[in-house]
Amino acid sequence: MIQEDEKKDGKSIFPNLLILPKRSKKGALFHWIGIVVIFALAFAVLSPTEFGVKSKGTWQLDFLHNDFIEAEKQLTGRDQLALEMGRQTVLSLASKGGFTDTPSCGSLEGATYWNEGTDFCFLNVDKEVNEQFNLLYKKYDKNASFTLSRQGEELIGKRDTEIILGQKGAQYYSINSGFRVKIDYDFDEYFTLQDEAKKLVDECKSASQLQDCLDKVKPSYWKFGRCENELFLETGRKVAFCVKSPQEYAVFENGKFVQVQYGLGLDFSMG
Amino acid sequence: MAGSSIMGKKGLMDDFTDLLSFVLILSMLGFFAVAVLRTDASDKSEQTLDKIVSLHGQEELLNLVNSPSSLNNKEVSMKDVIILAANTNDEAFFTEKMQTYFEQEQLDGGIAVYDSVSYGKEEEPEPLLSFNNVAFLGDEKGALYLTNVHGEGNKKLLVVKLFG
Repeated sequence: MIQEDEKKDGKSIFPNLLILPKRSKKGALFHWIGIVVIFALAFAVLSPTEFGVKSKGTWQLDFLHNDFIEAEKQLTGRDQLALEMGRQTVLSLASKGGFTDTPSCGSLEGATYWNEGTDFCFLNVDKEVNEQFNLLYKKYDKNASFTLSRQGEELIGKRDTEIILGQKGAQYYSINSGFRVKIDYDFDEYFTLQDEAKKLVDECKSASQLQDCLDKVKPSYWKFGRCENELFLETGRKVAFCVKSPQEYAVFENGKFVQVQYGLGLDFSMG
Repeated sequence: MAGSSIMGKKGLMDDFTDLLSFVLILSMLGFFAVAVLRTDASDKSEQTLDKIVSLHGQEELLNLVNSPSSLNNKEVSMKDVIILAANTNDEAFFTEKMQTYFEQEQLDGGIAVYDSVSYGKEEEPEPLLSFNNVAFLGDEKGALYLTNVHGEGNKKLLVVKLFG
């Protein structure tokens, strides 16, 4: 009605009212823009989705932190345990003449015999090292089953089990749980001792005065009975020896360097 | 005619005002976005740098425990030294070895050794051994566990922490 009157008169009684509807639309548009902007900002702040700049190398740094470094730390701990077990293996085997279990040649008064007359119980060093090491390691890991190999004074252990880190669905980072440790000892020393033992038996098996013969033939690091305070004891031509490491190997054990000493016995009977 | 001219001018003014408002809002949004993005980028760079620094800290810890040391003129590893010092409660021996290492590597900070039981249970566990060459230890750089086969009781598992 107002617009019709206005058209007739050419004048408007309420000129402002004519403009008001147009202004309201534009005002409302800007009013809504403001509201939309506020909501957009609120959404950007509160939304869990990350907006803005992404930090560089996030994946790589997370990988290094959570997987690589973590794995290195675990390996450091495992290597130390393997080193300790390796050292214990050296001393434990040496005290038992290199055998984990009593061989067919038998044992007498704590000494493991390397021969029975002319028959020698040949030592399979690698097998014994494997058995003794795994036996000791099982105290800390019941499922321990390493396959050991030697390289000079280093002991290398391989295992099928992997250490899995940073598992995300089907994706994971795994490391081999094997080790390589320097035990500062070479198991090949057993072969030297075996050769010397054979020589002793060959040269003294027919000697009537066994002690005199052995005194002449045996190297200085072969001691009768014990390494300290030697004591010759013969039981039916069986003699126990304590042999000090020819290479003077000493293994770090519980804060001390313990010299490797082999406890073994030889049978000088002819049968 | 005069009325429509005035109305035309008013409309023009309104449009101009609207345009100004629109430009103003856009400028504010642009300014806000740039400010947010710049701050965000700066924060993210800081986070990245922090992570890199932390990574170096962890490496320093690994280097420390794996480094060689000597005992009775024979070579052992620093892990052996740490375990031995923890088992014998020999703070002086520990300090001597660590001081040598920290000086040699020009490290500022400290190292502490805990038994894993106290470390896991207590909020501020008392270290078995500690050494530092600064007034304040600073932040933790890294920590790792060491199995102590000769340790008794709580000392069967040790925690080594580096600060700096």
